[in-house]
Amino acid sequence: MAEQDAALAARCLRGDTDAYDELVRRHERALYNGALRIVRNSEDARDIVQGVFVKAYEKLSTYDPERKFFSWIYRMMVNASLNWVEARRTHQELEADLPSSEPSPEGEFVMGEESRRIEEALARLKPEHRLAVVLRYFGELSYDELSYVLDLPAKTVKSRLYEARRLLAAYMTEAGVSHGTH
Amino acid sequence: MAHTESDLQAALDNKLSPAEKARLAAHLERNPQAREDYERLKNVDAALRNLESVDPPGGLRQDVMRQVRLKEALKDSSVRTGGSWFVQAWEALRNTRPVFQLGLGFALGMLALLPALWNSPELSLNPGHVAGTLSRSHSGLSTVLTIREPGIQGEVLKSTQDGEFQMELRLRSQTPVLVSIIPGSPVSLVSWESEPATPGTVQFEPDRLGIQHAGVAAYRFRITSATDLWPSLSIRIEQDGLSLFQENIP
Repeated sequence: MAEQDAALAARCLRGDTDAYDELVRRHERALYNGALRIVRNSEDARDIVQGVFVKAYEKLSTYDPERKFFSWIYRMMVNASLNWVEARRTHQELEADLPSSEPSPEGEFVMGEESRRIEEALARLKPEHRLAVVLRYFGELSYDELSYVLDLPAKTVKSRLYEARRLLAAYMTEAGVSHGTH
Repeated sequence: MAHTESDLQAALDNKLSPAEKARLAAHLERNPQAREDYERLKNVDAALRNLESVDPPGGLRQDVMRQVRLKEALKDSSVRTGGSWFVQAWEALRNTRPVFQLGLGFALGMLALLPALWNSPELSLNPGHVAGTLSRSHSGLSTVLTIREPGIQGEVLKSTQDGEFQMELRLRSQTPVLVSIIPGSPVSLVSWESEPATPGTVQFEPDRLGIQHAGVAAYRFRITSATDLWPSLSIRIEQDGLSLFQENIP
């Protein structure tokens, strides 16, 4: 996947915009989900991801093919999302705008409700903790990649992620999340 | 604690060797509090792994690619002179009766529509370019007017080259708007293009040039005037008959 990404990026640099279309297709879901969990607003997440993809295209010549394209663009998304959060924080509290699941079948309803509670617990985390969780679980990044994206030593990243999980466990216990019982 | 923390992290990440797993299991067996903490962390881990991934909004990729291709087009292309028939059409339109204007407008619209029928809805550089061929852009365009209104952002850029004037309008709007470029002095249109290609959205009327705009697009016009000076032009943007923006183009 990473090698294919690098090849696609190389084709883009030779003027093949269809190759970039493929890169967008491959990564739009992960980037959108990451941005959504950071900024917690679907429209803003969309704008951020769209802007990041366009900016990445403009800066593609600076991309180092030795590094994963995904990590490179994910880092851009994180920075853009954090800038957005910082700008927004001066104006108002973050508001939840998370998508809800279709509540029709009983099983899906239980899962959807549980997901909602976890999302709420996630929202209670400080941004730096939430970010670590988002990158780990939605970006599926390794610790080395997390370290690169967050520009932090791997040890700090691990510690932050541990603290985030510990806080989430506490919040979810408070909320009575019943995961692991089904 | 640091030792336990790293062990628990590694366990959650499934990175422990069998020996380390056995050592951790023994530790948890002896320490009920540690065991409870570990179970809670495992639950969190499982819950996070099971969180639903949300579908990205429809059209996100298409919007990205539209912008990418727009940037490519603006970077690499411009309309080459050579639309003399267009000058004649423009001049003819200015001087004919409405019935002929309608007829010619319809014919132009159909001509512009043909490429769209033959191509996918995805943006390509050539469809919809009613006049001219693509060539390297000269870099003399500079911003003369900035548009910053709620829901509408854009800029007007101008340049002069070899006695011809080039004007470019870059516009982003959340909802459809009608843009009018209104000449205040005699002017002839040599050629025009838009990116993305938007067949039929540019209309030529005797006293103005109208653009039905939505989303993100750029429109580039090459014009001449009777004098060697930039013709007097103004821009008006309206929505449902309500004027949102009106300025003379400096």
